[in-house]
Amino acid sequence: MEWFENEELAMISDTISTFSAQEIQGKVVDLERLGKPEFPRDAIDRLSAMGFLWGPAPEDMGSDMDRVTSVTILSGLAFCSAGFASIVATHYAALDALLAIRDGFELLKGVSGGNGERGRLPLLGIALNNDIEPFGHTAEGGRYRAIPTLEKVDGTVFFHDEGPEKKMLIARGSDISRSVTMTNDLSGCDEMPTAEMRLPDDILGGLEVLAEGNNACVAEAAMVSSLKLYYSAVMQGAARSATEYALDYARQRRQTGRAIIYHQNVRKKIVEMEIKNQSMTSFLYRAACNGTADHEFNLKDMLYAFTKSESEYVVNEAMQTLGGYGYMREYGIEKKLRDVKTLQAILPTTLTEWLGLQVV
Amino acid sequence: MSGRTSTVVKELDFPELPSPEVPTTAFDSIKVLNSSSENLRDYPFSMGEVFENLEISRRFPKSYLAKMKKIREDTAEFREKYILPNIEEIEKKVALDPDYFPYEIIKEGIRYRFPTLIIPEPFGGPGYLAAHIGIMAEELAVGSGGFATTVSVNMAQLITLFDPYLFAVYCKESIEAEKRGETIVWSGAITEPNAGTDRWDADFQNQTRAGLVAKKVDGGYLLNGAKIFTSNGSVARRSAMSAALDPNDCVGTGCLFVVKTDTPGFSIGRVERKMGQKSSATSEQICQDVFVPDDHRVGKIGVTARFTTLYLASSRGPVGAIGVGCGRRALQSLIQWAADRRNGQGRLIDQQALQITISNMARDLAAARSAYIQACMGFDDIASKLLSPWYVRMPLRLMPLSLLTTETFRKTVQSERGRDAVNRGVEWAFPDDKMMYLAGLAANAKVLGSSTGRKVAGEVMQIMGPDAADPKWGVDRAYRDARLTEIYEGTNQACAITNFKAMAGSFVETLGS
Repeated sequence: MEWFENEELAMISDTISTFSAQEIQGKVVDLERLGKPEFPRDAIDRLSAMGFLWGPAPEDMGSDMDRVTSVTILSGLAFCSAGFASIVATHYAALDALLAIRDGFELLKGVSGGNGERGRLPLLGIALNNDIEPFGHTAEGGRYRAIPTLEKVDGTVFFHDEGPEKKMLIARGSDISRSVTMTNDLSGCDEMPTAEMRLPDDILGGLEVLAEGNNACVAEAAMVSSLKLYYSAVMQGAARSATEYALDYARQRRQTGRAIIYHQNVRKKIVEMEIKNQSMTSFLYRAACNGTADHEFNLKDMLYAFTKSESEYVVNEAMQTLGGYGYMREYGIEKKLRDVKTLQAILPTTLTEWLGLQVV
Repeated sequence: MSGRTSTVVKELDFPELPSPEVPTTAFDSIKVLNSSSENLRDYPFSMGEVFENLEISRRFPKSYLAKMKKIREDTAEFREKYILPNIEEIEKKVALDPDYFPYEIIKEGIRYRFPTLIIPEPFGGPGYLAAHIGIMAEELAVGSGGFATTVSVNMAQLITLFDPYLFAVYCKESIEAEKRGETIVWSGAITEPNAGTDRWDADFQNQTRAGLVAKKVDGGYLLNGAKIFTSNGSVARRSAMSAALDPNDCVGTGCLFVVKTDTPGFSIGRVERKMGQKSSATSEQICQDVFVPDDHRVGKIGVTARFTTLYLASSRGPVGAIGVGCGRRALQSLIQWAADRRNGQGRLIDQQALQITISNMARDLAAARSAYIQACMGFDDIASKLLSPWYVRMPLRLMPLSLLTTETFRKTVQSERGRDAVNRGVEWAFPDDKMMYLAGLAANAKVLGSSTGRKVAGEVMQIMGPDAADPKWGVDRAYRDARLTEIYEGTNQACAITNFKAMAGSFVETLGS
């Protein structure tokens, strides 16, 4: 697909733009609030009503979208709020995990209440263990990080090892609320609270099993790979918006007797930021266009590693353009930086990319 | 902020550029300062700064090094006892209420003499200089960048050094408060809503109208206007404020005032909600017909530009130190974390990729630390010179502080002749070439320390993944704290311009040869 001249994508991008202006801006992103923003359930429900929660689901399930569309949606949402976009990105990754297993199609039909027709989807979250590597480890004592917290979503998809056997499970807030310890210690993506999820054996035994064995392994690999793709889209969107914000600011702010856009160094920085934005965009769509063959997992690892560092550079430089104002919560740029840093840290360590990449 | 999204690929809308562009700092407009020091000629190509540093080191008394060790030990103890056990709770409180300020912990700093650090020994203070403040700032920043800023900003009292009467008055006040178990917090108010870089660089000060204007009235001045982003702004009892008599001529009519914050008309505006450094209170300071008596004007009219450069030559080194402290915190956490954690390959600390990364981080931090120590020692060498003439040393030794705060002494040093004499003394101690060299060193130290600290903490966050968010490691906080050091005390870009100007004299020599 020639994504860069695709009219359909441009139309979706415009729709998301309108949605962001009406439903997110001024409602979800309330920078003057005390404390952290509330979970934007209403806006998510409206997004769901528009059919945008279907994301990567295949066409024969009633979805008219694909991964290219999904990353366009996420990038567009992140332009306004990376925290909000992250909730949707996490949901898309959970969908991908379901779609990767043999009965996923049926499961999705079940949760959507439809029969081949596009209906409303419940909002899904995921839970990751905090281990160094994403694969093959059971979280110690059944301790996971739920993204977002259990009570905010309709179901949380996660993976658990029982001896050599892996299981794909779904937890609902009502199932295990008595065993959840809530903490919210990430400093960014405020709209998407995360929590530690503790699962004693007796509770684990009572949860619905979605897949086992090899099926579960395939689903876990798909979920982690998708998370990297979708979080990259969110970081790329945050970087693009930070660049435009810095440019707007540079046109207005005057120092040394001129708008700072007429300072060569400011222009140089903005051009550097834009070069990185374009690189991230190209890489993002390249990875989104491809499927889930083994080497494409590596591609998404590389995309995530690349976007993590490039988006941080861009948002960081945007913040520097604003000087002192950039550091103050009122202006919102610092939130974009915190959001990007959180999306860098939310998945297991960079060591995975260093040590796990097998370039083919 | 715009709520709209851009199309899938959209070109940025750059404005048309004037042709030809007018340089912000034309090379020929930079004052050529061929160094009077043989060592510093053709800096940075001659390596003369290496010899300069060695000579400076030999001039300091033994007590200089002893004090470095003492303040390092004291501050580390304070950090472990009072900051680290409480910092998470403080950050949470400030997130809910930006007016919250940890007075109780600041008060604990009295026994370590934090409020009186810069007061000379003959006046009863510990007599610390810039390098000691830098070391203290790094050690505090390992616990909290915000605390390091709060304590370091008390250095704003240093501007009274250019008025011996005011210096004595406020040294006495601080020492007496310390004896009572109280802290008198100072702030330094420079930045204005329309002027950041324009206020922090002496050559740009006339590019923007003054945001704080002083009007001469009987017996003093009326101040009107506002300052923003003032560290300690909402908790300071004394604020060193720059203002101009003619708002269109900050250079020619710039003045420095010591303002008591309980003066009628003085108010605190917005207390900022910041990304980090939450234990440091940053706010607007607003003046509406604030009366400041004549005797609280520091130095001569028109000295602001020079004082700003001098002040920054002393303060930017410690800002670099705060960046280094934040990076150090992150690196220490990474090492402890990597020693405990394993992956499929074994213990993380055993793995080559991580070992080399840790090594690179430690190397960068050590280089940044050398830069701030060098900058601070350069400043201290000159500052010591101010106290070296017999006519300064004698009164300091023989006259009790109370005599320096008498009306007779005030009239003498604040007469026009007195102010001229002090100004000549400052110009003698800090000639233009030396002042700019030191300003360049300090600017470099600030850029190196701040950017290294932010980069190290940022990379550690990526390596530790979700664990970086765990408050027990303090990595997330170190990153947010370090980020401010790239902005305040003049952005790193403003620092780069300062450094270029500092070297321009050498470049002229190079170009001529």
